[in-house]
Amino acid sequence: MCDGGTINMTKRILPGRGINYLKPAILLIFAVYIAIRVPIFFSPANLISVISQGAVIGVASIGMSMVILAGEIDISVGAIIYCTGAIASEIFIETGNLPFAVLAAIASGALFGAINGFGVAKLKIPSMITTLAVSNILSGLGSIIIGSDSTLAAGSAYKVLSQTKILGLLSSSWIYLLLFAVFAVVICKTRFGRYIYAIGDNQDALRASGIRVDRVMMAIFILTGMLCGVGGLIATSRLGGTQFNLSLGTEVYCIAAVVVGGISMSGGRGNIGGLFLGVFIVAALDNLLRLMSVNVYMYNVIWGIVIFLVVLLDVLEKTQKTRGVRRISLNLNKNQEKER
Amino acid sequence: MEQDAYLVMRDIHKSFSTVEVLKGANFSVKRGEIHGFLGGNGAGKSTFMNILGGIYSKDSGEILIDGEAVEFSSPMQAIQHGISFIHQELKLFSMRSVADNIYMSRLPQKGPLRLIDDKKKNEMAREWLNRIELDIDPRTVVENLSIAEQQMVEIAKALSHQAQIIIFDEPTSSLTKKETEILFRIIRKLRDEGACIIFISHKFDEVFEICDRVTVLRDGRDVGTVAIRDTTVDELVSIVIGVKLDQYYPELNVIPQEQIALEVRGFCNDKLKNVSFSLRRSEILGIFGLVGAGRSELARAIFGLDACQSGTVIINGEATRITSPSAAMKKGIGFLTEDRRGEGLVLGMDINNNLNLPVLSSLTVPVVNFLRAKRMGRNTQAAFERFHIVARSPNQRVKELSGGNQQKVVLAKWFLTDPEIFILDEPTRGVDIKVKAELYEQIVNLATAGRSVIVISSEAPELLGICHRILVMRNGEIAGEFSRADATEEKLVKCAMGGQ
Repeated sequence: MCDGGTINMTKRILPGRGINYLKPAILLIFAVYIAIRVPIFFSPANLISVISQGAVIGVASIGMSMVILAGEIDISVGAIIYCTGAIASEIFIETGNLPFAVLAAIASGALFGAINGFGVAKLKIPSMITTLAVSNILSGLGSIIIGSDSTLAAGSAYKVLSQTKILGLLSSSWIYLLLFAVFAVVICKTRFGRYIYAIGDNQDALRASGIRVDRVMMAIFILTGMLCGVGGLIATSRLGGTQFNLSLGTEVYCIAAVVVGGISMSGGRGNIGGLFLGVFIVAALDNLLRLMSVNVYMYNVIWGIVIFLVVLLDVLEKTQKTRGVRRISLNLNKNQEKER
Repeated sequence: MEQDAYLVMRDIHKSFSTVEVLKGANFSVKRGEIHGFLGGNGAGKSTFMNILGGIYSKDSGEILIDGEAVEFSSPMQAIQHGISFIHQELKLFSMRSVADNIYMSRLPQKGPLRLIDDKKKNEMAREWLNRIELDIDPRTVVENLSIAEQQMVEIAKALSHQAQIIIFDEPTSSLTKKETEILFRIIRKLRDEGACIIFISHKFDEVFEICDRVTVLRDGRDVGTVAIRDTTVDELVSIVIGVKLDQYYPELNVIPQEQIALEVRGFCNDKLKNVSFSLRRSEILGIFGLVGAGRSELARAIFGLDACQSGTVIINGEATRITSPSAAMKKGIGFLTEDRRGEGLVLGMDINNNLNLPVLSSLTVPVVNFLRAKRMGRNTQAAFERFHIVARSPNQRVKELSGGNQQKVVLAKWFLTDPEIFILDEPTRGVDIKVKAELYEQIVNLATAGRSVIVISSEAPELLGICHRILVMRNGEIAGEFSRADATEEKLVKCAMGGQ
């Protein structure tokens, strides 16, 4: 009964098929506005810095897109970045061994992801709750590792990881671009990738096809954890260490990037190529708000509104699609008439 | 009987907690036959077939395929034994392509990176589609197909798994007449190629049209296997229900009063084109039409579930605006949805709570709003008696009930609200013949008590049996109106399909 209600509601707000053009139209208007108001935004130097600033969100969004395609959500992304970053910084300070710090961040990310996956796939706790709990645990754990000084300074040797310039781009950007390319292939072209879509589409049917859905789900969360581990490395290496609450809340930007990229919040639908654009737009908006020196509180207000609108757009698209299906069933009868 | 059978199921037992559903049922199918599988609601039909499909495991008994005993505990293992189950609610990935759906369990890979070989997958899928003469691109996304085409995809998938035994569970329930004909042609073709087809259905005309033999299940046991050419509908009906049914449709003695209870004028929205009609007190009005003709949409619009661009509703001579179901209920309208699992019931809740849901506000203690459990219990008790609901207790969850019993609960729920105007959308869908007869009687009783009833159905005979008057819808319009005296099944179907 509720369903009928929403269809009526959305119809009243926005009629018909225009929705398909809505997103590009908003983007275009926005871009023109920026070009006039903040011309420096479109300078090559700034665009390159947008890509590098987007690296953390970008890497984590790859994981988030898999989780969302599978019809779940991971709100521990920010906390995993925070905690793995703290672990890597601490280990680098203690040992001075960079490969070891990298390994530790990715391995601990995998472990945290495995906890998420175990809760969701094996214990059947809704992902929203599992990852919320894990998020709390990890943000606490991260702060314990950082300790009472509220910062960990790992020095400039640690910065090498993300701040080295290669062919005009920072190494952090290269890490993101490389991981994106690899995962784009994994998601589009492998059995594992196809199973991710299939879980978000019809879990029961996939189980009936003899696929171990729980293992796929587990793998999705572990990979997301590992990607967040990479995110933690980039985030801390950029600062040359870490500080209290660094990167907490990143999941919100990841969700925005995924949805702006055209991946449906209800799972099973979306193109990974769009994610790249989504990440860029989110990073660009972040960059823009900083260029315009918007104050921190206003910054939060604006982001909240943006995310609300982006998800609203996703809902509108979905209702339009379901209406499309109904139209098809009607056409069927029309065709029949013609045949007679 | 068993000697030349390909599939034999012997002495199958199955209990759920303390309830014994199957009490030693036997079943056998030969190669190259279409074997009907009939039984009333709660006879254990779906449990029995789910055991064959690997969804449930049996408690005892044996399954032989081609003389060899087999054991399986998952749908995939059943498929590997050549058994494919095509469910009534199709189990497809609606957002994936046809080829993905056929090959999801074994996507072909190529190269050292083991990437999916989409080209090969599409080619192989196309071959299976060709075999069943389905001319669609294997890259088409399934949600863009009609239900009939989606069903064909399931069949192609079954064939691609080398299925020797194909189970069809009520395959025609959402198909049009023409689509049904195509499906039957393919089923016959599969039979002629030597497959065993098991055809589960409630519709006797279809069973007589397509089946070679029929096995009837009653109360957890098989009570007879007969060849179709040696039997009659009456005989089969009496085997299914266990007693001879003298009169299927109740007598319609009540005469509609002059007073008009409901009048609809000029209803328009994206599914309806200027629909107008009126309903008198004590009248039973049938609405017939094909799937998608706008029947349900009309009912939904009257009940305030879908919006209307224009049109008026006049109830007892007074023009009203209905914009929500609660407004409709206040005006004395009740609506039994066709989607009982989606909109009719809260599946995880027990019978008692489901029944009392629409009348909860009248069952609370004033101010503090506590529920009056005793009155709820009385309501439930009355509903059980009136509708003969079969359940362990009023506290059983409706999810666990058979389809027919679920339908009785939905119906009983709306009877509790005692609406003046009662709209029933496919009230007998998925309900066995005995319960159907009971439901028809309840509907006639409503009219006798001065209520007005609209019955929406795609089964012409039942409308002919219980309605005073029948409207036929086509493409969102009312295409014809027939009085009880001059309506025939042929006229209704012709009108619904747009023939002269």
